[in-house]
Amino acid sequence: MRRLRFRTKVVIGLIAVVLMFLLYVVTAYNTLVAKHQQAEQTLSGVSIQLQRRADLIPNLVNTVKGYAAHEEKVFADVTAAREKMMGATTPAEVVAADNEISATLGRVLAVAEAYPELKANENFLSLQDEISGSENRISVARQDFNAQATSFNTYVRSFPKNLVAKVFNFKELALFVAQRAAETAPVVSFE
Amino acid sequence: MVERRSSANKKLSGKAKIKVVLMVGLLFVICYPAWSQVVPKPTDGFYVNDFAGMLSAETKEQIKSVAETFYAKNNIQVVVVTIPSLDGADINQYAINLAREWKIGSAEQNTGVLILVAESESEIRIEVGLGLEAEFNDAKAGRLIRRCSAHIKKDYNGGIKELVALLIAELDDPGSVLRNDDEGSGTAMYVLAFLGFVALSFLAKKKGLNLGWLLWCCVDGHTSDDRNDRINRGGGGHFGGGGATGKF
Repeated sequence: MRRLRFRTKVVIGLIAVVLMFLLYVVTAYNTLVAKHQQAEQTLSGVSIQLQRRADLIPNLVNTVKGYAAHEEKVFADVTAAREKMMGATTPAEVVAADNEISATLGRVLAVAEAYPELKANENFLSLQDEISGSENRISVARQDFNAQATSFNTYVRSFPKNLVAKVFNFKELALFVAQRAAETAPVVSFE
Repeated sequence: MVERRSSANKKLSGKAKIKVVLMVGLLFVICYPAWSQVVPKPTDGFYVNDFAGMLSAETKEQIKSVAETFYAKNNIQVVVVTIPSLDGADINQYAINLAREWKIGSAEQNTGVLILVAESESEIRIEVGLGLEAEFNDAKAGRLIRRCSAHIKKDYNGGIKELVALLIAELDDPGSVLRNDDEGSGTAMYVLAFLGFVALSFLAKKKGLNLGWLLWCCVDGHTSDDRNDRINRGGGGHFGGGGATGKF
């Protein structure tokens, strides 16, 4: 076997180093994309559940109206909050509408406390279950998003992956801030 | 925080890198308590875990045999857990942590159900796996709890046995025990859409596990544990927070 010239060896070595480097960049990039996509999907889950909860409102209002027709203000408020959610386009609007829905829904459910017959209405109870379920899913999806986003952010921040992230313009994701009062589903009592 | 970011942007010596890793680790420790709350380890019985000592040996044996048979037949895993107290935790949070941690239900079909009973709070939750949410929705879970709550309050053994029996009968033949819902025709659509997104997100994760990663592990000294996400460790069914909570 013919011995390779020194320069050929150097070239082969350099090519190997460049290949390793490229492989590193590609892998880091792919992981960034996968982590980012995963977090985004979870975020879509959050908005689906927000919409679902908003869609339960008309049904709830109709049911409660049957027993407490004079509580017009509460119904008007919750319906307005729902419309805000439907019309929300920016994340900030969604958050604002979500807070308003949480607050006004709480008032509708508080109204129900005063009407024992309503509280025993099977349709009302089911709606309450669906709403609590939606709220629980929202909070689970938000936690999942936070966990995934934290994993992504850690990846983006740690050296030397942060250089790859910078080149491809990956930004850290903003986390949901825990809003204990707003996120905890209303306590439903079945006594 | 600012300090860490600026230091990460400079070229780091080995020591500094360790520091960054430690600080990121610390961040996790600070951020995680609410999420990675400690749940007990499953007992050998798995289908029945009576940490609160609420059930007789006979009841446990019966529930276990029913649940085991049902799992063998329908691939739906129903697990009962009683705990003495939630220690201030939210039962919804506790239930989903436990269901995920224990990997309840088939991973392919996401068909797990957890019945969690907290004795001192008199709270009960039915946590429904993603694969069962369409046929066993939140309203049904709530209805089932309301139906059995008085019985459970009077007699733990009889009540919980009844709950499990009704749950399994309903899962076996939807609509047989609890009427199917019609009020939420839109709900099914949302459930489907949600499931679709969840499926996509898991697919995305699987795709991330490419061959390059293997090399990456060697290059960067990562362990596969770092990749392993904290939410679904692959074994069990996925839970998205469906189900209902009630008092007894």
